[in-house]
Amino acid sequence: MPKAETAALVVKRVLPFPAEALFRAFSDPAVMNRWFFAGPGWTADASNDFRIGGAYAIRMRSEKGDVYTQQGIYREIVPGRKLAFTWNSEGVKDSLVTVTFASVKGGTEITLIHEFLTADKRKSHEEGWNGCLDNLALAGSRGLLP
Amino acid sequence: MVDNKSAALDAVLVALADPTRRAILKSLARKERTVSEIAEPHKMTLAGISKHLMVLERAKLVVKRREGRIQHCRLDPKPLRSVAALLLEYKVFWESRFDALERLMRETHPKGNPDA
Repeated sequence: MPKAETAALVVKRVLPFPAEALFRAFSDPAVMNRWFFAGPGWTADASNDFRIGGAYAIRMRSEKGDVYTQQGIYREIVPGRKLAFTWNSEGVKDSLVTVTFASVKGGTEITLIHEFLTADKRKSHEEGWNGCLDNLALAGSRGLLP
Repeated sequence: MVDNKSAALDAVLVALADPTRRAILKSLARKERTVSEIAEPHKMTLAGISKHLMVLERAKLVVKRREGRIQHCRLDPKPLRSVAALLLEYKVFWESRFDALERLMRETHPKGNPDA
């Protein structure tokens, strides 16, 4: 799918650590709890069923005690190389996060792509919308419209 | 409602995902136009353009006003703000998570591994 067709965010970072260790930071709840939260003073409580089709949830708790939960399903797991999972949170449903880990000079380049209009979602939207148009046409053909 | 907000955002994302619809929005950014004026530069039937306009209306990006038998369309850019805000919010979120990840890695892997 051409990039211009999706609303996506790309964040890249080169870190001087091996890909395996960084992959583990994204997949082992014990490590995720130490960085995967919204900011200073927050805590995270991650749990996962780390297999394709398995679910994960990260409960982030603010300093004031407010809890926000991010959750989704693993779509792709290539140990040490790639991870893709759906991302659902307050206000964002069925977005997709793809993280790749590439060995480069000086460490590992992490590329994170967060797509807010996934192919699945677009399809369900278009089907829903075409359904509406079909119903409208049907209503029109039966003389139900003014 | 969170779900309404999410559905509204999806409608805007879907509306923006098509090049014809993006071109229509661009042409409306300058001024209000009638449906036939909008259709003119596109090699498309009026029915085809109307379908695109319905998607844009559903996303509340285009507002129609009728004057006799003529329909005028104008752009309402407000829903675009929700997309810009979302992208910015997540940009800040992921950048700050990468900062936290980097700090944690420096603590737990003090020597790093530049040859990884």
